[in-house]
Amino acid sequence: MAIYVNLDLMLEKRQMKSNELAEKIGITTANLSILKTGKAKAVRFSTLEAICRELDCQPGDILEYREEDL
Amino acid sequence: MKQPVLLKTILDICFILLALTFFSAVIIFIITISHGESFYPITVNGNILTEITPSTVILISAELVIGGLILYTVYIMRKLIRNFLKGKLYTSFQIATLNLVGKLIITITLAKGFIEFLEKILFESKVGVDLGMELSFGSFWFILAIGLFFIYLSKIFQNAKVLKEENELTV
Repeated sequence: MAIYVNLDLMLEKRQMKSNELAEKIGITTANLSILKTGKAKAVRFSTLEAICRELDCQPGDILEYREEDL
Repeated sequence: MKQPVLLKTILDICFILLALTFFSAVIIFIITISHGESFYPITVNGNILTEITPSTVILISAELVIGGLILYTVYIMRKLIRNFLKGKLYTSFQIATLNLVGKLIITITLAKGFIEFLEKILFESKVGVDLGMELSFGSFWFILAIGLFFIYLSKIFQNAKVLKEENELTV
């Protein structure tokens, strides 16, 4: 998929751990891991909103589009 | 969820009765072939057979093969219902089985139609194709439609599987 999730980078910048974020935004660590590893097929606006709120960032800081060779 | 249990019971009864009929027919056929004409006359699909000829042997064998296929279809339908009862839906097994059931129903219906056509030629010396619609669920066209319905259902299950996976991977 050409959409990349830079959640690891943002967590590192904010010096926050995955389980801590998962707890704050109210999702399971397993689901957060799916998002971090790029396995997720879709992200709910409510989840994105919660992540942005907790990490004090914009959706564009987490999601990135990179063109892929066909 | 009472319907699947009832369906399972009906299919179990069908399977047992079909298995008894099928294996009895196979045994009678083998005895008839090995003991010559002492068991004659026998009736197959309303046609009275009084002698062994290669064509009658081929026709009865074909009928038995179709009987075996019907038995196999009911057997895999039983497995499918048991799989449904486990609670997991839209699995690869269910998709493949629905598709197989549909294909088997179509194959059996077409083969039965062909055998009936041959029987008319051999026993009644008539050539004819009956494409009419009967006022029953046993009609050729209706059973063919049921077969296609199962194949279509497997495609729906395939789509549902993709949607389910997407839903599970939505964070």
